[in-house]
Amino acid sequence: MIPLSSGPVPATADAVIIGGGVNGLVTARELAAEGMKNVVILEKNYIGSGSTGRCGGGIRQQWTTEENIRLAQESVELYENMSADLGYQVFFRQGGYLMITESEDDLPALRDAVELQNRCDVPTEFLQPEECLKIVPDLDISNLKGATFCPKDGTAYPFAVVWGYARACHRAGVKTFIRTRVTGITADDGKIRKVHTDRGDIATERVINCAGPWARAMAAMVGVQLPNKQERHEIMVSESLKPFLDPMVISITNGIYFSQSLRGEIVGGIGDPAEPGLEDPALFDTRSQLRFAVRFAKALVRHYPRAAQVRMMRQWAGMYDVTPDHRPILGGVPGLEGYYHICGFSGHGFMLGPVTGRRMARHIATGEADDIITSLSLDRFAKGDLKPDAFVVG
Amino acid sequence: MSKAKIFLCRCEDVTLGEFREAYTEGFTELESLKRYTGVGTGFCQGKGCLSEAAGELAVLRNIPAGEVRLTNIRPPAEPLTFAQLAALEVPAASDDTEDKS
Amino acid sequence: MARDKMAGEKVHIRFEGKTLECRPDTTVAVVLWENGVRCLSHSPKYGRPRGVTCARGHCTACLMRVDDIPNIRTCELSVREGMDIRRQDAGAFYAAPMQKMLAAGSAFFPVGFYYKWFTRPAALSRFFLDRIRPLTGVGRLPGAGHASRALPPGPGPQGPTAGPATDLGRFDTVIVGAGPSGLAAAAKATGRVLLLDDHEIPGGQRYGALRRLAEHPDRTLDRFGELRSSLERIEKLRDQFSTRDDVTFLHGTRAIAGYHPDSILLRCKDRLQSVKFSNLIWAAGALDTLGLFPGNDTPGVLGPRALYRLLVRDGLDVKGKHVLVIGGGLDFWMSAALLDAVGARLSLVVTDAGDSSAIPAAVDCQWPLSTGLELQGISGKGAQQLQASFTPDGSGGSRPDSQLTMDADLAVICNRAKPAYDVPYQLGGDVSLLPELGGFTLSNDSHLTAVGEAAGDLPGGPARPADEVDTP
Repeated sequence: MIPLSSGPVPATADAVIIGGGVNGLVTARELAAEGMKNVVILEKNYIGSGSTGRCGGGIRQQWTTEENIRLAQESVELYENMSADLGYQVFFRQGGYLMITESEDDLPALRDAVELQNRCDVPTEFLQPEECLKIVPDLDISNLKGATFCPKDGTAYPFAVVWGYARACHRAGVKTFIRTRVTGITADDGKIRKVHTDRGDIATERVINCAGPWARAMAAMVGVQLPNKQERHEIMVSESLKPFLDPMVISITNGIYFSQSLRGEIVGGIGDPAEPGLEDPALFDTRSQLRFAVRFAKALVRHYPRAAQVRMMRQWAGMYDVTPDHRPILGGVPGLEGYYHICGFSGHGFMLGPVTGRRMARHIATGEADDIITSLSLDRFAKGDLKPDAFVVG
Repeated sequence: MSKAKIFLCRCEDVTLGEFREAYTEGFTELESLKRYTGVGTGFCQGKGCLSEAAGELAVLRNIPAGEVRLTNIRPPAEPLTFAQLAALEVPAASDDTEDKS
Repeated sequence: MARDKMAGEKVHIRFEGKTLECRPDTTVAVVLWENGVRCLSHSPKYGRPRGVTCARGHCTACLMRVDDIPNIRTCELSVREGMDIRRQDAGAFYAAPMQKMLAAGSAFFPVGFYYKWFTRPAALSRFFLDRIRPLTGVGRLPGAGHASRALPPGPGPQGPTAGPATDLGRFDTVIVGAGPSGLAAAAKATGRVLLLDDHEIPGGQRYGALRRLAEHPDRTLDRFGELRSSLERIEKLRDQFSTRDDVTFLHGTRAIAGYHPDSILLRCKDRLQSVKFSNLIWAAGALDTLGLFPGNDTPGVLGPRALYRLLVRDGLDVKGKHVLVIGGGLDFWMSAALLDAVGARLSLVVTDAGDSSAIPAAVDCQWPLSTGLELQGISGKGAQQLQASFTPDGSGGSRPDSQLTMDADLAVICNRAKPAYDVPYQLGGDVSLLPELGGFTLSNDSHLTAVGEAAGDLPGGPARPADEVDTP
């Protein structure tokens, strides 16, 4: 059962989590696993309705800094065991990620990345264009200059992850409220005191901001200024076909990505440099545009001509919560006890949510320091201590 | 005839019984029912079933039919090949900043 | 329908290795039907046989592999010399037995069972996913030979295409649907007006059927006042419309996508065009509703709009075939009259209690007719027929000994239809469920308006002001 509570919110809670996507659900479940009793999730729409339910479900370890690689690697290990852990199928398939480029200039960085990943025991290989055909036989390699392939990268079904964690939360006594808006957060004396909702107030000492594209607005309620901007990204799904494509194919040249889901549909998107970074949630627009459909189609047909007679079924959009270095923001802020944020995943929340949620839960429950959390804290922007990744796609 | 199947969604083979069962599992919104059972996610994208599913949900939730909100219907209304789409000119980026919420 | 051969010429198509000869101006689905192939596909989970149902490219029942391209809607595909047609396979060799098992024991396989079973240990979970992957998906990727044919013309796919203009520009008013409501709207619209309809001539979904009835020597049309007045109304509206030479009319064209705020994509055969509007009038009519009864997916079960398309547009031959018409209302009588006009053998079951006005006319025509019955279900009978079961009104199937069965080749179910709503909804229109209809329709706003059946104004239903016909 995934019962989602109705009625007024409880008067008190040990932790209030804002956001019912992958970050909120994983963190809640892990907090409960750490022994925290009264955990409440507040979701303004339905669970998974935000970025988590709109994403392509990709999970990769091919990053270019050791920290990013190790974090992603930990996440992949979590995904490998997630279905067994939750007792719920999340449809994680490790078909690999094939990262292609059409520019000679990218090749040195790609080779360096492979080397670094290998040193971290991630089994990525550097491929010549012809070698790509062994993995994606119908790929058009005429303009390719090189590629990398990691067979342990993969995809999972976002809603299965959402429901699996929601069930686990329920079993652990977490209360999830849907269609419940946070209207304010009160703090005094440098401590969190209360979360106000349109269904009542909850007295609590801990609020965890997992609100994705709305995290910035939530943080502002307690005077925390996040540097995040939100970008609209579109994605589409095709008719479903028998399996023909094993990996996710992703181009660092034009930003297209496409893979075949377990239902047999091609799921894919392409970045649009014309999309502005937004700060005001009132400007979020998740409606579909023809421009995306045409740009994606042109790029897909170019890379994979055999898809020309395959049909697009549906296109939709979601918001990315983007930070200046495209890496998440974890931890808290000095001078405000009990406030934590897990946000700014810049398009990689689904792939990193399980590991960051688990680490944050342990940190919140035990107070123990965590090297990743320290490295990804908000103060890195002021310190100028940024380690951006070389390949940001999707 | 009591064992025979009543199909709510023929594209995805979702029977009326399965839809009702999913509701009892806690999927009480059309959006989540759609994703869990598959209703409305096949080739017809809901033409054959969403009205009926919504009507059934109203009965299950014991609410007036008018209160059931439709799931997001997205373009296109019929499947289009990538070749057909690729033959179009790329529309300019939208630059209006009106409230789109 | 493009007539690429002279009448009288024959076309040859291949179905799973067998050559079939047919007339040129029809669809693949109809040719297969007339050659005894009614099962065009099998459903994904239970492997149930499916056949032509909507005849409008809306459902999945007729999807087949044609010339090495998957998921082609054969109900809308014109036959062409040398076409190769196959049914699509289910995937792995174990698919069919699994489907049978699922179908037989569906009580043991609860909804979403694949989320909950085989999750532990991790190795079993992986094995399970590996085994179900080949079973998912409907068709197979198109054959490699299509790659080069499919690419668009021009210097390169990313560059400007050399094809004809794809942007029609902006119109003050775009009217989707040239049925009675669309024509009435077109008569009143001002400014630069575009009217489109996927038929070849204006008149709407029933016009072709009504014309056929009017031409029939038996003058059946005259016996049914409602049908006669429908035709007269449409003819009057067509005449009114023909006096306006400033309205652009696109025939054979469908609105297939709405992009907020004011852009729609049109399709005429294989070509897409975009158009912008200041006002959209959605007069696209309604879709057949088969209803929820056991066996509502049986091949041979159709709605009346599908029937009109199959008989009038595609020329489906039903001479001598036994056709059950079940339900009531305008489309019930039109279906009956049309079927009679094309030589089918009728059995009518009037289940819509409110409809008795046309019964005397039906009796006059000597059509076998029953009232006071409830449909309990339909099942396939062999590969070519179906069997419908009825019980007396009000007994609700509780007395099996009072069950009446009727065998037929076709069953046309004439329920209250449901308004089409997808494109206006995509444009940001506010759509909600009409309780009396069980269908969604648009709440009109300043620039998106639904009229006629698309607004819920269905025959026999409560009248809505949006559909008043102005006579000059």
